[in-house]
Amino acid sequence: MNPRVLIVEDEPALLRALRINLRARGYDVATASAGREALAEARRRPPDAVLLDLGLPDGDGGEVIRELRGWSRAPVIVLSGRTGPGDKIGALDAGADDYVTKPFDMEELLARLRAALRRGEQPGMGYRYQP
Amino acid sequence: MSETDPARYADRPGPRGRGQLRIYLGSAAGVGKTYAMLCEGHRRAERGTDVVAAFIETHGRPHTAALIEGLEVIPRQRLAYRGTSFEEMDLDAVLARHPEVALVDEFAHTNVPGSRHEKRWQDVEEILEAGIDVISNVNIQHLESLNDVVEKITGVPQRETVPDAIVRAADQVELVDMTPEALRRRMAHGNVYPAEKIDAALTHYFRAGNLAALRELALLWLADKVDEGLQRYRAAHDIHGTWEARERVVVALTGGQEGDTLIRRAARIAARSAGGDLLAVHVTRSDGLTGANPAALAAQRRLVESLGGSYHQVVGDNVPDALLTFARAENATQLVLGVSRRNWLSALLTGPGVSNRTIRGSGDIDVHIVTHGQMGRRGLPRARGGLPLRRQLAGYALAVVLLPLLTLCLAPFRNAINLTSDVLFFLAAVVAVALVGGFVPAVLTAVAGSLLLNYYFVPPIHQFTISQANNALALGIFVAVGLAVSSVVDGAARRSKQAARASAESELLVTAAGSVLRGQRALTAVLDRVREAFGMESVTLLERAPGPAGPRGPVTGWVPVATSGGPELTRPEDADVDVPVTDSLTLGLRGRALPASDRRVLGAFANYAAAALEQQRLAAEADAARPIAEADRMRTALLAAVSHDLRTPLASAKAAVTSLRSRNVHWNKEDRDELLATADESLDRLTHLVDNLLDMSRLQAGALSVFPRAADLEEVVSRSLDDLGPAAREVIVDLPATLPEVQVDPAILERVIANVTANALRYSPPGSPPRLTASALTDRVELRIVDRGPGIPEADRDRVFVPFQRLGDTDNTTGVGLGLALSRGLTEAMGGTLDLEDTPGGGLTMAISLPAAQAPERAGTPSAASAAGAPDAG
Repeated sequence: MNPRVLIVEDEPALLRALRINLRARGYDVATASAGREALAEARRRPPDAVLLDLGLPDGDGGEVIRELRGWSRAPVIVLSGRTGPGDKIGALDAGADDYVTKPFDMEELLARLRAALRRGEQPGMGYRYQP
Repeated sequence: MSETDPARYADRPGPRGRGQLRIYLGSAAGVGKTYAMLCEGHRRAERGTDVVAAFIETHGRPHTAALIEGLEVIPRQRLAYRGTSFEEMDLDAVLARHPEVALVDEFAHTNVPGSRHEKRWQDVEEILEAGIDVISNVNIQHLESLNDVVEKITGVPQRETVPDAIVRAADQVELVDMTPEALRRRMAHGNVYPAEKIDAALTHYFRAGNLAALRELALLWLADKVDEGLQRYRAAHDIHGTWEARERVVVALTGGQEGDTLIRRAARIAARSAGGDLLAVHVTRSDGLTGANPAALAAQRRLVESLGGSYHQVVGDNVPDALLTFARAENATQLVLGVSRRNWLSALLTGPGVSNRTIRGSGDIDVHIVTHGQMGRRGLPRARGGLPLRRQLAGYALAVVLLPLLTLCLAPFRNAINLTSDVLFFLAAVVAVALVGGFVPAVLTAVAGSLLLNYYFVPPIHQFTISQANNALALGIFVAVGLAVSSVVDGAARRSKQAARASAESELLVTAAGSVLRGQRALTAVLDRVREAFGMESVTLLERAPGPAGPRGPVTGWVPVATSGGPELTRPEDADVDVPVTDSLTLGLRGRALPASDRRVLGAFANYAAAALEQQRLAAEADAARPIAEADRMRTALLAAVSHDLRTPLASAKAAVTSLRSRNVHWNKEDRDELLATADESLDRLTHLVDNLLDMSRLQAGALSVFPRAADLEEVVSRSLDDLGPAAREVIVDLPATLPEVQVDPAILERVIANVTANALRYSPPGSPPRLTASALTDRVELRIVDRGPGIPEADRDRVFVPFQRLGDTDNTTGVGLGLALSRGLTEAMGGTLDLEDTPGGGLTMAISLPAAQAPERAGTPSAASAAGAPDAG
């Protein structure tokens, strides 16, 4: 079965570019443009990985990570325009697995996504989240 | 033109059989005149009167239309003029129908050329002559005499007018009143005009200020008419006597507790006449502390101001003169005084009081003496040592009365009463005089008493010789005791004066300290207090100006820091009293010299003033530092916002382009096109943002080049909508065909319209696209972009025009808030304005007012007049 990836991004153009790329590479893609919507979608059909924007219309992406971590081990890759070290530390501490700043190279993002999925799949290792 | 001559209709004798005219007068369209007229029609019809609706204009208002139900309506007459068909009242049909009462809307209406009369009020005259009662209505703006005033207020010329005399001659005029707020609410709910009909003219007309002014005009006009009726009534009933139109009431305040009563009473007198003025005045004596309680005066000042009056303070030793001079200078018609606080004894001893002397000199000013709870109570003691002259005089008077009286009474009983008792009687008299008059009268009484005792009572009688040493000793002791008692009494009086003065001083200082602690304008408050307390002309705090060599260098002069009263002092040498506070601060008072005893309090005041100055400077420093900290925080947040807005389209473009370059995937044509479109759109967005940022910085730096020329608004609008792409296709453009050209820079206006329309599109709910309308108003053209979106609360309206008002990166739809700020800036750079209004029924309307290239010609035909003019009826 193809890995399922949830894209959470409120900018329609970027959402579209990501969706086209992931579909072309065989991923099963779900999309959301706000935090609430993303959590509802994740509960409905749990994703294998999440690509998450931090600046969302209904709140901060960090909150979404924290809530997601309450019940999911799926790797989360943050996509953000915020470049400060504080933002990165905050997101990673909240439970994100990787942090990619905008603008990014599509190939690089895809490679990071593959890596995250690999780590999540390793037999015996599982996903261990330590706050 | 004899038909339009108002004199023909005015003051005509009411012929028998002529109908009665009742007019509903309103301040503006929408207040409910037609409604009131129809209600009255129904009332009369229910009473069995034969009522018809001769002409009713509902303006599409459902409540009004519903009221026509049940009334007989005379069909309108159709008239053709210049190829257009107009509907007018069918005068002949009304006359033929001959009801008891005819309802005729819009009294001031101008008939289409070709009608029998030029104006509808002339039609009404004919109906009245036929013996039919008429109920009609008119707006205040249509009255001939107010034409120019209304145009000045509203900026809209009125073409439909009716001579005042005609309306004044109506048998009844009733005001249909509504507050501007209520009318504006009615308007916002869409109950007055549908949203499509609202244009620049209407919006300008219905501003709250306009409505308030029009309402006042209507009320005043009607009050005049009522007054006229009253005068007629007076003349008819032989009532004479003048009626002062406006009262100017001056109330004199002493600072005593009775002041509140006096002020309220004076306010009531002022309120009795329309627009009466209230002035409060406190006379400060120029000798020493006034004895007035400054806190009480300050409280009374607030009371006066809260009642809409003004507070004044004048300096004068002669209170009645000062009061009357002030009252005459202010053109006062009434003067309100309190009943004297002195009791009858002191009034007897010192002659007529302030109120009596004021009444004597008042001339044509009415003086009201108001009784109050403080009558007959003494005010604060004058803060000076010793007993006042009045009491000393009373002491002498007592001595002059008591000593002969005692001598006369005791002399016949010389044998029955022994000398000891005589001496004690005289001692009692000395004590009495000491109690009343103090030390000096008591000493003199003691000496005189000893002489009288010696002459009349000590043997040998009727000689100033004393035969027994014992008696000499008694007289000596008598004089000594008299002296001792009087000095004790005098000392006590002196101490009580000092105590009173100390308490007055401390009260002053407490109020001064209070104003320092409370901060707000403390320095001026302290200086005001000094000026009031010491009855000075001006009080100035001076600071040594730092010389060219810095603060420690040679002195170059003094700089006034703050002043109360006038004129301001510029050097301490000019002051009558000069109190140095610190090396570099001094308090200068101008007005008169002060006794040394006042210096102590003044010194304390000077220190307060210095403290207040320091506090003021510290507060200013803190205030100066706050925006810097705030700006720092803002800058960080703003940077995040701008960075987000720049990175977002960049990220989309980069993502799209890097995926297209990718070798490990084969793109089908559809995906390729979509990725290219994404990159293209994102780059467009980025360009747009960069353009806006650059323009904003040009605008803020004043470096924007504007090249205004006459331009066709419709052309600019269509180019703007082209810029917006396919999304703008649903925008409804509803521009009148005959719009004057606007004096603008077309390229800049294009961007403004595009920005504003994009904003309207973004917030419009599906199915209710924004609408663009335009209208000409004297020398302006107003473009209105009307949306049905959520609108913006009144309180937030100014905020949306602040650039970069959105902080952070949580919102992709509004951008950094550049759009509206930039649009307003660009519009203003072209001499226009951009304002936000409510769309009636919900939504936001953006009104862009632009200068017309040339003043539009005024429309000449009645059809154009009612189409382009202000609201003509309601």
